[in-house]
Amino acid sequence: MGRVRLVIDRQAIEVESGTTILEAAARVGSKIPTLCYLEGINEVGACRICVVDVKGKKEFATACNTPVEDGMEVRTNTPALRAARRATVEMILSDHPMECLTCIRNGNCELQTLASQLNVRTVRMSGATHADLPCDDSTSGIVRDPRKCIFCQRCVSVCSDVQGVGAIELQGHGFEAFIGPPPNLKLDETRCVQCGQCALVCPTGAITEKDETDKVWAALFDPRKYVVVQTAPATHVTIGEMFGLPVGTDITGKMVAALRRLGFDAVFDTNFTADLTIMEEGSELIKRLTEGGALPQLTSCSPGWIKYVEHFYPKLLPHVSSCKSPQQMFGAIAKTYFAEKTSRDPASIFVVSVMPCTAKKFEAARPEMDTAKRYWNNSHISQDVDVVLTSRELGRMIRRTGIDFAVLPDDEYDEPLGISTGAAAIFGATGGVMEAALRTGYELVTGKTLEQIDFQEVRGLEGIKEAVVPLNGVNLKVMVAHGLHNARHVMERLKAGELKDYHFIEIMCCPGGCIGGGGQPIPTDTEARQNRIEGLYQVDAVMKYRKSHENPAVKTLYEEFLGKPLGHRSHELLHTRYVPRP
Amino acid sequence: MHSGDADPKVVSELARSLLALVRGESCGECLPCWHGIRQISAVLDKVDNGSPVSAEELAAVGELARTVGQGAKCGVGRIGGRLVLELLSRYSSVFQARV
Repeated sequence: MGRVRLVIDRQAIEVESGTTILEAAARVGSKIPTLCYLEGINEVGACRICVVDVKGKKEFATACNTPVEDGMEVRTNTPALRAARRATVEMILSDHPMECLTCIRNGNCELQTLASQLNVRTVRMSGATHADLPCDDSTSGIVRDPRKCIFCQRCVSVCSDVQGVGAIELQGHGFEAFIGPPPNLKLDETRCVQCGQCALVCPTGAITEKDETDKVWAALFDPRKYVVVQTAPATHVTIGEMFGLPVGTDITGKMVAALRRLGFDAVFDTNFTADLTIMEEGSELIKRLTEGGALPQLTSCSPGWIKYVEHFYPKLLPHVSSCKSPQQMFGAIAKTYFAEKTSRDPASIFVVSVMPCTAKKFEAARPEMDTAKRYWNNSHISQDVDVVLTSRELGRMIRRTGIDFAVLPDDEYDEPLGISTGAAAIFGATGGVMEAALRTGYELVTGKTLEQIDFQEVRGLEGIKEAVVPLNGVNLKVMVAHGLHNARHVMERLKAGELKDYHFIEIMCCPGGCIGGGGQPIPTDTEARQNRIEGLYQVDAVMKYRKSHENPAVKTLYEEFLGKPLGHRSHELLHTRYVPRP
Repeated sequence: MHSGDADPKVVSELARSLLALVRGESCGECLPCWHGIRQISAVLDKVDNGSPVSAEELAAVGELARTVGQGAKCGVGRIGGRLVLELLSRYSSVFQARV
């Protein structure tokens, strides 16, 4: 690649050819405002906020997608540019509901920030065209409020290109154009997997998680209910961001303290059932290897991924592990084993999950996730998991109480469902489930102690990763993919019969794994994903137990209640079925 | 465009019909074109049918037209914006604030 010399805001700079004006300007200290731009994902230049003046050109250029040229003279801040940017924001605001104070994104909205930065003080135009569009709350996880849509198309790019789903598109043409599912369809009538990546990148409140905090408040103050909470591995390193802590900080102890202060009767950890998942899923893999069954085995922890397979590759469902996700295993165990052990009426137990994920709301509502009801044959028992809160919702609940999160002392989880290992901690990162499975699988199969327990090959943000692990004379071939676009590559190869010699494949719906989930704090970008992943590996490194089969509470659970992995009771409580979807 | 004595009715009719062409071609992808042409049309409609038009509205039309003319993604919006600017400057007597 050649080098290009240019001048930006009177500063001479030399950059690689192919660099955009936006990137080059940032290097000379000029931060050009943007709105629709999303690095590497949405560089369509739709909003025209990042316009710059290029000497000799009659028209403005968009900095986000215009590459630098040799000898270019760029101005990023002239009266005409300021006027154009402000006029554009004013136009957007003329068709945007001014509900900032009651909007879920109040204080964390890119349009709000931009209007403030550009000193927009009046809106001289009227005539909103979107004001009457109805809200779409048809899905369990995601709410679309098209009135607040500003046509940036980030959601479209993420849904089509990053996730390969294409549930929302730019529909229609010209002045009748809108962004959403095809006309007359609601989101739950499409192949939307409810991953929430659209909500993560939406600059405004047009796509958000479905807020269910009020249901949790009601349960917490209902004396008839015993409210237990579980926290997903990926939430342990993210919720601090909402309280000003550095991205990737391990806030496990503070989160436990905050949950206890919110009034939860027992504070447990999904990491416990992550260890349990490894016991079941690892045993399932060994069974498929030794007794036969569809190989490679695909992981099943990620509900968006499950829904994706059900829609797009129903014929390959036999490859998917029958194990429930850790969230659903927890719900089932809480309302059976834990109820029995503590002599509680299972109908009084109310299970709340804190998840990095909007699709978990869909998963909890799946009709088959009512194991406890069937186990006790008691129609008063509700779904195994009653309410799923995303990381963002828990953050809002904590804010609402005035708990000063950043200064909370560290607290410990309750026993027994709060005990976990480092293997469970890394479930939140892409490759984590694979690594956890390898740590346990190796020792279960060989009977030897695994010396080198860090599997670096499956770590990191590369889209598709592979490793070969020698296991009792067999070379176990594994693959890890994250983001559904990458998953699709894997599935196409599987469909074509190219992956017959692979044994185990981990797939996570969201880029980076659950730390990049659709329910995580906003912003979630590549840097945030990287920092959160590092945070999880640090948590793992200092844990007392780092292999799932060493978890003492899981051992007790098998001794006292389940029997053995893949046993009769495990099948009843911890395994599930999938349904092909159109 | 010539700039002789203009019949206000003819000028505003011309502006409206030219913008209608632009509206018909606008794809809906870039924001200034999408919003701008719509907002400008709304004000020009008022000029055309004799409704009250404020000085602020006309000033806003000028600013929007410049923004669209210089900043739209493609030639459709850019031409639309420039046409409006051209009309505003040549026929200022037609585009006067009216109470």
